[in-house]
Amino acid sequence: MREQEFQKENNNLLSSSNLANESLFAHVREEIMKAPLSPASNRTAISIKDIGQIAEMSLPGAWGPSQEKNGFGATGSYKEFAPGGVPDVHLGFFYRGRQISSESGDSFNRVLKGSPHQLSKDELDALSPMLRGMNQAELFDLKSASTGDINGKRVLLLSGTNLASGLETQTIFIEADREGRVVQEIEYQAAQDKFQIFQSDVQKAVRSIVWK
Amino acid sequence: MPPESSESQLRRPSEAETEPSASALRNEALAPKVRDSETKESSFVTKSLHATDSDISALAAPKQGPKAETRKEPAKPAAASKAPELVENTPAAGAAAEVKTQSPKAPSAAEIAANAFSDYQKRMEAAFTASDANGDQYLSLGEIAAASRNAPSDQMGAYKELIENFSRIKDLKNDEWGWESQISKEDLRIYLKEQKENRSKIADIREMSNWASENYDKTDSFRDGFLSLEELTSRYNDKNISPAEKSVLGKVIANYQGLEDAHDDEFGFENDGPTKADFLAYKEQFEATAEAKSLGELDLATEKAALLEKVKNDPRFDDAARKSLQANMKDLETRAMSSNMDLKQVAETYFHARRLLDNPGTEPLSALDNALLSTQIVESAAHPERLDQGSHNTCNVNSLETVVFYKSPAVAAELIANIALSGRHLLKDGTSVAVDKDSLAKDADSLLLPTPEGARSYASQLFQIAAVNAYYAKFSPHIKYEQRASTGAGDTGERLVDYSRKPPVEVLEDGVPARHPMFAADQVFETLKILQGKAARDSVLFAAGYGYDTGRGTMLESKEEFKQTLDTLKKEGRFPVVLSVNTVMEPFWSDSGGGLAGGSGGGHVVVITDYLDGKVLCDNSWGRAKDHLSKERGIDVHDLYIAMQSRPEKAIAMLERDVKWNKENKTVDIFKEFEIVRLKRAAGQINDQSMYEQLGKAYIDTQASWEKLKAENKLDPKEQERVRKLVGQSLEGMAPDMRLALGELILRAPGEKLISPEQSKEMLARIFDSLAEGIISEGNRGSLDQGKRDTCLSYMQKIEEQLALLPDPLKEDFKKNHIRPVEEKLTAAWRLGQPQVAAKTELAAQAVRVRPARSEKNVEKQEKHEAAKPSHTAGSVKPKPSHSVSKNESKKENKSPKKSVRK
Repeated sequence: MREQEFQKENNNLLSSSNLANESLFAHVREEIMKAPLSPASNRTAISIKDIGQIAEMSLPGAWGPSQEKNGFGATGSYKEFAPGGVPDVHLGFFYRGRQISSESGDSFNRVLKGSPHQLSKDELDALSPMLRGMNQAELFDLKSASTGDINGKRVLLLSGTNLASGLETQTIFIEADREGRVVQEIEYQAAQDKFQIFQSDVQKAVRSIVWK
Repeated sequence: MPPESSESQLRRPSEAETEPSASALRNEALAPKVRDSETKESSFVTKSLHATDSDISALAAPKQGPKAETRKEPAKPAAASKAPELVENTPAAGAAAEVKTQSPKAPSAAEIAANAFSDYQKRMEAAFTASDANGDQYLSLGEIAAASRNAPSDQMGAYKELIENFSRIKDLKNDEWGWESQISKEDLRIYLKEQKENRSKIADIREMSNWASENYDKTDSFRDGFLSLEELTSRYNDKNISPAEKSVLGKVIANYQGLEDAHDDEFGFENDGPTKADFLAYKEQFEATAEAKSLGELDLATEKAALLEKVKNDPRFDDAARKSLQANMKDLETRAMSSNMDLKQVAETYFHARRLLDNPGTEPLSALDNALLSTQIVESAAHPERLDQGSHNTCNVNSLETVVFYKSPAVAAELIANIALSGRHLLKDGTSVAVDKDSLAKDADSLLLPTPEGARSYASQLFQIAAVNAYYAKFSPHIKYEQRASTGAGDTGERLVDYSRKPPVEVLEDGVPARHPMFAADQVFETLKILQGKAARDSVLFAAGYGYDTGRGTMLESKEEFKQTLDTLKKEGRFPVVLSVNTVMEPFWSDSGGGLAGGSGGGHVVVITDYLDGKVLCDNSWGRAKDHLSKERGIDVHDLYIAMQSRPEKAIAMLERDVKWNKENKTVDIFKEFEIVRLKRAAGQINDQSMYEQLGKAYIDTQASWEKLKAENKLDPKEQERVRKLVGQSLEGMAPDMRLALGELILRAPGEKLISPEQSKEMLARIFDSLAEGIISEGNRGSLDQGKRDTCLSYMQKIEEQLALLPDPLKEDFKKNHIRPVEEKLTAAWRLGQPQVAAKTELAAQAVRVRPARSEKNVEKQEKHEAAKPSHTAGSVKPKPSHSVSKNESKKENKSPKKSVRK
């Protein structure tokens, strides 16, 4: 009975005559209103707004801005947040300040278009100019490279250890245009003994991203 | 081998003398000079070497000492399947590279030089014969010029040389009645003989100069800045030096007196031995003579032959790498012939490229690295427009590198080769530049082979680090510029270190380490000057704010002055020059990514390569796609002048004047109107609300003007498409609320829409999908933030209002492809949001994060396995497989009678 009702409803929805009279989002609203609300404590988080493709996101209250640098490749920028008083832990928002080559951009675009997967060596090689040495064994101990979604946006995640700093590193590469050439990065770095401790903060922060 | 000239005086050890004594060499050095009675006297020539054919052989190749026989055979060439680049750094290849790479059957340097001379002689004689139209055995300038018009391209160099040196050649033999007015065969014979001798001199001088650059400090055991004969002799007798170095040292000792006299740097008599400056002056003085200036063709032919012979059997090169090198050599020679570049620049570039190949590699560089650098030097010289800054803050140094490679590639080649071989380089004023070993290690860019577009090559890494250090060595010797491995995003690895402090500290800028060269226009100018030995004031251009009017570069006060300067540079053939620009302005803002991924505008440096009909051709260091090197891609001189302003306020004022002029002349340039608003926001002159209002006004005005043009049948669809694309991009970079507000304004305002209905739908869909995904993923975790819920509901209201303004088919499409899937996901999300399910999903999601998507069949099995492991990843990425996961979960949940899933 219920399924028949849905079928009927679907037909109605697709009928243009009904579009003018019925709210398109009625059911979505209804579903949203069903959701239990989270505890108010979440709202004490600091809010980060308008960084590249990120319209908004929140970080736990203990975190704060730690440094900001502009001028990478003339137009790039780096904004860093860190938990107060804790050295060797930070979350950075980075743009290299210039587009990558169309060849690398196409490769990035292709990698993201496929279903979520662990990247092959060939795929990583094709992305080399974008990865800042993260697939170079001399510079980075790469543990995993895979694609996945953050709030509906397909991204590339690389994890491993930066050999120069010794910091555990997770970098999210975000396609900011539609051609894979403008690449935004979010990088979480922490000393080995602190990495897991602050990981949940970073997880929450990344989950809170509202994309533009 | 051609016969040895009996008239030439041997002043360096011949091949027959395997190891002449140092005193014998000195005696030769101090012996009175004998000149060829037939040649004209030249003050510098008398001081320089008189080498013979047999000497040439010893010049181009290291002397084969007794140890040569014990050298290993060259390893086999690497696999030919490799891309057109050097063989990878495999142990086998490395071992091969460590051995002497010259094939035993390869012709000697003397034979190569003799063959090159023979070919050159034939070309010159052929040009003589072809030019002698009346057959009188005498050539007038007119005859040569006339013949050169029909000359084949490979003969052009010979005609060019005859024309350029006509005055000198015709006077060589007194064989005409009265004034010497034409070139006779005898004149040419003497000239060719001189050429041969001078060519061997320049080869010797190059070797001595490079020896000094690499070994001066090691030899100067008294540390007094002078090389005494005692010090030179001691080094000469050192059993550990290579035969090649011994050979060059022999030449240094033989020319001891000439060298120490070259630069006036002693009180009274020059008798303490050559200084570093003496070596440089010795070379410069010879190069300044007419004899040396005419050497281009022969010098190039000889060095080219020697380089090609060198790589012929070099196991570090496969066929593709050899072909690539040859193609770049051809491109370089074509570039040199079509410009006013001295061919000796090309010859010397090849000399340094070969010098690197001769050297087994000095820690931390390997022989393979040397071969890599050798090919990259030739490529950079052939195509300076390909040089890019990569992931470094070196647009300024990259620009000056581009200029040096364009104008005097040999200077760049020598710098790179010296740094690679010894970590040191001697500037033309005698200042020594040193680069630390760590900075010579390949970084993330230079490890990429072949160098991809936009990345910085290894050769450029060495050039750029050395160039910055050249500036500091001269002006602030306690500062060193170093390259380290990047520690993460936001760190290019560049370090500017103050060694006057103990311990050394990084130089600060605004309280934080300045991790860039700290070069404004003045420093770029000074560096160009110290590297090239000279720089015209207008070789660096900038507007106020990017330097001071101190004569170090040209500060341009107006657009007219800019145009005038460009006209002059064009007329005098003096491009390329360096230009400071501001990337917050177009076209650089769009070229950089237009703020889509964050970032902010700032100072940048590019290279102007030409000026054509009001368009300025610019080479940008962000990759070839961002160059403006064709007339079509060239930047309007007016727009470029706006982009040169360091302060957006000044650019805004200029753009406002343009817009006003447009209005008075009843035209509209929508780009400029948008640009004004964007720049005002960037400069902090307006807030988001004002930006919205001003952009809104510009949108409405444009739509109205389009409507008018449409009515007049003057609306250009191409222009419309261009503007729509721009507006679409601009909206994509805005926050969702701003996008929604402006989108609605566009849809509601009358006139031709600034964005198409399809673009509107796409924009709304992106906002909705993003919002919904945020809500869904919150739901998957069991609860929803109230603020997020309210924002979402509010946005949905606005989206719905705008959808109502779109045609029905688009609404239907939106409903089907966006709303319906979200409804389904939301329903599933709330149920998955139950605590126990949420925990399971989280673990499953984490598991997928670190592995490829799994087949549904194995999902549960893998989940169990992963659940047993501790979480390691940041959970920041929620992989879609939740396709697989949520589908699976949904199927299970569908069995529940309590919840419904719309199908």
